[in-house]
Amino acid sequence: MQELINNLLKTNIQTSQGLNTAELINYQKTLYEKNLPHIPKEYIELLHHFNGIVYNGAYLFGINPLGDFFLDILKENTLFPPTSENMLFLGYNEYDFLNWNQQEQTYQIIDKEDQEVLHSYPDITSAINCLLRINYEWNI
Amino acid sequence: MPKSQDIISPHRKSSCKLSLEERMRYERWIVSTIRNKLNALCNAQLKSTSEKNSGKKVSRTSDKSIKILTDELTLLLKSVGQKPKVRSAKNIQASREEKLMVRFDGDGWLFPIKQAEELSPRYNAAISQHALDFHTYHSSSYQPPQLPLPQSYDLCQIPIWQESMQKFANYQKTIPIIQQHLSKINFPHEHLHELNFYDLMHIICENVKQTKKLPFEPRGYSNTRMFAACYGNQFRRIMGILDYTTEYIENGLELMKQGALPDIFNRHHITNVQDCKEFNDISKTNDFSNFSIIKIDPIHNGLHRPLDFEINPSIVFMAGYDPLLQIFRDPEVEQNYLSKQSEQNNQNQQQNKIITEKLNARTY
Repeated sequence: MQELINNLLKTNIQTSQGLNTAELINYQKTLYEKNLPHIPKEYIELLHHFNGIVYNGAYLFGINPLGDFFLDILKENTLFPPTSENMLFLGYNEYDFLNWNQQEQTYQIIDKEDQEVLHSYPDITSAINCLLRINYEWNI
Repeated sequence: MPKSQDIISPHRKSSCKLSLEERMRYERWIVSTIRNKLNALCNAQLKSTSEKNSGKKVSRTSDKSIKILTDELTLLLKSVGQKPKVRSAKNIQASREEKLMVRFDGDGWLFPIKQAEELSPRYNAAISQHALDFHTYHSSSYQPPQLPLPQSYDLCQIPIWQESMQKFANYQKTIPIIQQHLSKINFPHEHLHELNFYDLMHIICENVKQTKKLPFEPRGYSNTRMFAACYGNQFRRIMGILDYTTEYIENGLELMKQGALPDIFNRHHITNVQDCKEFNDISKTNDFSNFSIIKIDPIHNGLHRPLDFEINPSIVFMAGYDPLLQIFRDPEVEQNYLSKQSEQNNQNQQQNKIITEKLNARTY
């Protein structure tokens, strides 16, 4: 996780200040009331550092209910409701959503149009690199 | 909210009587109304889904409000010139391979390949054997086999290449890379027809890992550069109307000249990747004629979710619902740009040829 955070800090992302624990707990309660899955642990850790990310036409959601630039997890999941109650969208790019599948405990890259699962990752780092289109390994 | 006499569609002739300020007031009103209605519709959908998930009977008011809000939004979007997406009768959904093929051509992002599951057994065996040979090469009296000539591999024998990949100008540029790799791993010619899309992508990935650069410029980038060259001045004018600072506009244009986009915009496929089979040739999905740049919030969101609308194919840039905030395609300007590009490419090719000839002359 620390490697992901360091890499994101080196990348030219746009972000807003991280959140504190109280804000996150309150938000988790709201998600529970709306019958949505909890935000996964690793993503919460990321939200402590970056409350939403915009990079290269891709968005990672945060807690920004009134924002029109950084996007809000609840608002986006309401705007485009996932097809299953075990799904929580955490971001999107031109083609795909980044989905947290609570049942399978995996991060999935799913096609926006037909919701086909294109890639599944057990860890958040690869999933976020895939969504933001970052190939740190190859330096492209 | 504007007074009733102000609410005149800018698409009607009477719009010419409206001042710029009035048109922008109308635009702001329509943007906020669409945003509010989208939010309301999605909240109603969420309520309905929650009721279904919790095993309750869906209330009649939830269903009714979804219907009313959908109708209102549809009417609003239609009133500003948008049309609901009509899929052709022959609409066949693209396969995963076709979607990934179009995307890689468009954005050049190398997606992960599951070696064990996706690569063909024959290719997997060939690369494993090659790795084994490489390790034993220095440690024993191993005699490396005579490798076939790269040009001896006819990619047209690979079904996916023959069917679709060869139609993409960008994949044509990968031919020498694929041929060289097949020669390097001593892939048997008689099994070329067993290679699949993921094998070919694996070869391209391996090359990118080694060279640290893509074998071609993704179409999305070249289209964005073309947009900046053809419509840069109109972009400046529209962004000026929308009150963006000169610095932001110029930085945005600079980004576009490099193939990237300012963060408030999105590259939009008029016929989307999922429907690429609507074209007889799927490589046309990433053509400039199917490309447009759209402001994400609320226009792109309003088009796609939760309603399914399409934009007028003659629009290449859309920063608002008023035609004043849109750029329409100019085939003449685009043709001039393409001619200049092709002239420049020819010149570069000739220069490269001269340099190669000089180098060869020096060697021998």
